[in-house]
Amino acid sequence: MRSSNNFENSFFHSRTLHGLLIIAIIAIIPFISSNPYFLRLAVLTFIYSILSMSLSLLLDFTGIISLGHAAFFGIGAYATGILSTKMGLSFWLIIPIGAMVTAIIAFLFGLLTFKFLKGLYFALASWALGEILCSIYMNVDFFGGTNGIRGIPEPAILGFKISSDLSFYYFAMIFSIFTLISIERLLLSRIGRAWVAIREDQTVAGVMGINILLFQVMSFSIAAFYAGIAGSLYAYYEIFISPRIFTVWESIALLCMVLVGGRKSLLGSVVGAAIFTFLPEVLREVGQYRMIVYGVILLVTILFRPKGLIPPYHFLSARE
Amino acid sequence: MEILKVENLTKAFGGLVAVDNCNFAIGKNLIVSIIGPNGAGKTTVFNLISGITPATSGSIIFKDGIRLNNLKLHHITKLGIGRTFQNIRLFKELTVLENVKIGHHCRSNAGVLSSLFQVKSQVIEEMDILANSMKYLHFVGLERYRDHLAMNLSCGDQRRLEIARALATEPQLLMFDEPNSGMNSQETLELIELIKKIKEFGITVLLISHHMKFVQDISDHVIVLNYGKIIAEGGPEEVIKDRKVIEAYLGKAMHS
Repeated sequence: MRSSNNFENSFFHSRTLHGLLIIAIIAIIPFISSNPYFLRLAVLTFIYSILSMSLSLLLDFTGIISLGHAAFFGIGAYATGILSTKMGLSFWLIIPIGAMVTAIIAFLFGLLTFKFLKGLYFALASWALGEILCSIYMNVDFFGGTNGIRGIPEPAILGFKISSDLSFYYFAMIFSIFTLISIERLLLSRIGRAWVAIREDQTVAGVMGINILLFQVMSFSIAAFYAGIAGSLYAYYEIFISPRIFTVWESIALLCMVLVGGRKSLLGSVVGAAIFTFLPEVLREVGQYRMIVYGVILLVTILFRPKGLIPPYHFLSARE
Repeated sequence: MEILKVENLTKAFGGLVAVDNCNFAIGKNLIVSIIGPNGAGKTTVFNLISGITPATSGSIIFKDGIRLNNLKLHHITKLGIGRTFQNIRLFKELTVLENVKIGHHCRSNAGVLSSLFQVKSQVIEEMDILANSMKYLHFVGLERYRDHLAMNLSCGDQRRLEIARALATEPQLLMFDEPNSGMNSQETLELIELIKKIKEFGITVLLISHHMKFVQDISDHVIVLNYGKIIAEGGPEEVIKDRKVIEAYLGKAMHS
């Protein structure tokens, strides 16, 4: 018994049905096009969609601008690199540990900063955190210095090694769907309502009895938790990680995905992740001018579709 | 028996003293009005009580000696003080129903994990929140607009929605800041009925207005502020006859 009346019940079923249909289509795609290059970009899209959805949770649903999301992506990746190469733990342990470590660091950072900083000042502080972490990765031998970490072993489930692009496609897909469903559930709950209230008006949120500091820190560390998962997947997939990947430019690229894909819509964030993964590869010649391409896409979207490609839907009302 | 006691309350913004050494008490289950000309410090008193601005000195005591100074906003709401705003501050981009649901925040307690796994207690709590929200919307007469965006309501309806949202926090003291501004006379009459019903629920009402007629019709007790100081206090009929009050509103009579 989930719903109080038939109307909501039927709607719940149709939502589930739509969801299953989309999952089925995505699951069949590799059989239609088994081009390994395409599969590689699809895997990266899944990984980036985890990042963009969790950033959307911060930006669109809590109203927090963060330039440090790539830093948390990096913590997950480095945790995976170290725990797998130096300690030889299995991925069953590494992915949750990596995500928890990321969330705890975000929690401590959030507790320190949200008390004193708001809006853009917080964004600058999160950028600083990213820079500090990058220079630690570069300069501390334990993290492999500028060479990064190489030779991360592939994850294995019951002896079956996930090493081919095809197996990674389903592996990353499961995590991406998990992210979508779990963030959506949070947004539809009391927690999500508190986040959105903070986004709309902090003072009034306080007058409604919402502990603003607590819920901002909560949102920030939950978003970091997902970024940590994405980091683990990335490290496993690429086998090699370097500090140069997790800079502020990566954070800005993630913000572009959210803004272009569609604000206040998780599906939009997934679309944004796909656009920014496929497009630079299609326009391969531009090479070093990648950020310019991003800038142009962002500018065109903001001018012609200010709310993003996928229209915002009334998230919190989705059940009604 | 008083529900709120204010002692020597002062608030200075730099050199400007907005509230100057105020002392008053609000009796339980009454409708008390704070009136005064523009800039008298009425809204500042509300902001001090609800914790939006910190007091410079003095103390605010709620019920049996709970000192509200330096408490966080959400803590004060949880204790049982609700309010509305002069310049309506709804969550404009959310629906009417969502606005009221947010009001239930401090009286519900589902956490991250129970929301994630939709455990039984969370599902039941959500159903209760929905039912209660509809109850409050019915009370203010906005049921039929439940799925409309708050910003699309008329001014009077927006004020009523703010009242429903404040009721959802289950206050013992409910403060209305200019609840009748922007309302026509018919709407004002309905509002008076509504506020009297709220009083019947056992909720103490503190309201700000500068419409004398409205205040006369509704109040059990009136406090008059001018330049941050209390210049008169008492029943609505006697206060309105007070010479100092007439002077504050109309200016001093010319004595030749």
